[in-house]
Amino acid sequence: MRIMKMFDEHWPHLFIVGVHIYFLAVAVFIERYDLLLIGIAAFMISVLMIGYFTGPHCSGGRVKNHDGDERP
Amino acid sequence: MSYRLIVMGACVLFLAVVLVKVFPTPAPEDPGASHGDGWAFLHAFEVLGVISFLASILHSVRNHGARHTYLLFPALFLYAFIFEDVNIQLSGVYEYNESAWMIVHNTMLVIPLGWCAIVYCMLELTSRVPGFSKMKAFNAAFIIATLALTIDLGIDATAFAYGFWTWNEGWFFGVPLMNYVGWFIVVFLFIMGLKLVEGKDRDTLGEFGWMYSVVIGALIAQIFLFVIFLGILYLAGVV
Repeated sequence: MRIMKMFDEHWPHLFIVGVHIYFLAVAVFIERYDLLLIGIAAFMISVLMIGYFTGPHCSGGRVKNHDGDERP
Repeated sequence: MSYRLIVMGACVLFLAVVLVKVFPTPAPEDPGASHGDGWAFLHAFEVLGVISFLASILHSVRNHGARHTYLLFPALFLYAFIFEDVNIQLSGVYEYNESAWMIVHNTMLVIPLGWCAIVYCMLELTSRVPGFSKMKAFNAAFIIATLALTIDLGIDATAFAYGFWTWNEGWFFGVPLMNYVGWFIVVFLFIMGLKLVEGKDRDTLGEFGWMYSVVIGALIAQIFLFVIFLGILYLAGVV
C-alpha cells in the first residue's frame, strides 16, 4: 500500500518533526514566546544536522532508501 | 570528518550559551498548577508517546524483521527505564508530574518509551547513509548522540515551563546543564555498546546475551562516569 510505503520511508522524519512541532504548540499555548524561539532554533539545528549527516553531502552523493536501494 | 563533528557540537553549545544570555530564565510561577487545560498537553504527550513507540516497533518489524525488533526494543526500554528510575531516586534533582496517567514507580512510562522511539529513529536515519555501518563506534555514537541532543534542546525547557516535569535548579530556561550532558551520555554509551558488539561472534552469549551485555555495560559505564564527575566536584570543593 502506498501509505505504508510512505510510512516505511518517512517515519523517522515524521517522528522528529512531530516532536518539535508538538512542543512549539505547547510553548504557544502557555504564551512563552521565548521558548517558542528556542524551539524553532532547536528545530532548525536538528533538521540541518540530520540533513547534513544523512544527506548526499556527507555520504559522497549517495543516499539509500529504506529498502537499501541507493538513489542519487 | 572528526573536525566537522567538533564544529557541529561546538555550534550547538555556542547557541545554547548565547540564547541563555539573551533571554531571561524564569521558572514557572506555580509548577504544581495546570494552565487551565487540566493537563491536556501532558496527557496528549503520553498518548502520542505510546503511539510513537508502537509505530517505531511496526516500522522496525517491517523494515528490519521481528528478530531485530525483539532484540533492540526490550533492551532499549529496560536501559532507559532503569536509568530514569535510578536517576530520579538517587539524584533527586527532578521529578515527574504526578498528574500523569502512566507512572511506574517514580518514572513516567512515556519517557523510556520516548527514548526507544528517539534512539530507533536516529539509528534508522543514520543507517541509510552508505558507509555508516563501517564507521568507528565512537564516531557513530557521537553523531547519533548529538542528533538526539538537538531534540532535547528544544523540548526540555518547554516541558519544564508547562510542568511535564520539575527541575529543582536550572541553567538553561530552568533546565540544568547536567540534563543535556546526561542525554548525550545515555545515548552515546548505548550506541557505542551496540556498535562494538555488532557483527561480532555471538556464539558464546547468544544474541539476547549480547544485547543485554550492552545494557549492563552502558549502565556500569554511567555509574563509572558519575563517580568520576562526583570526584571532580569533590576535588574542586563544590561538594
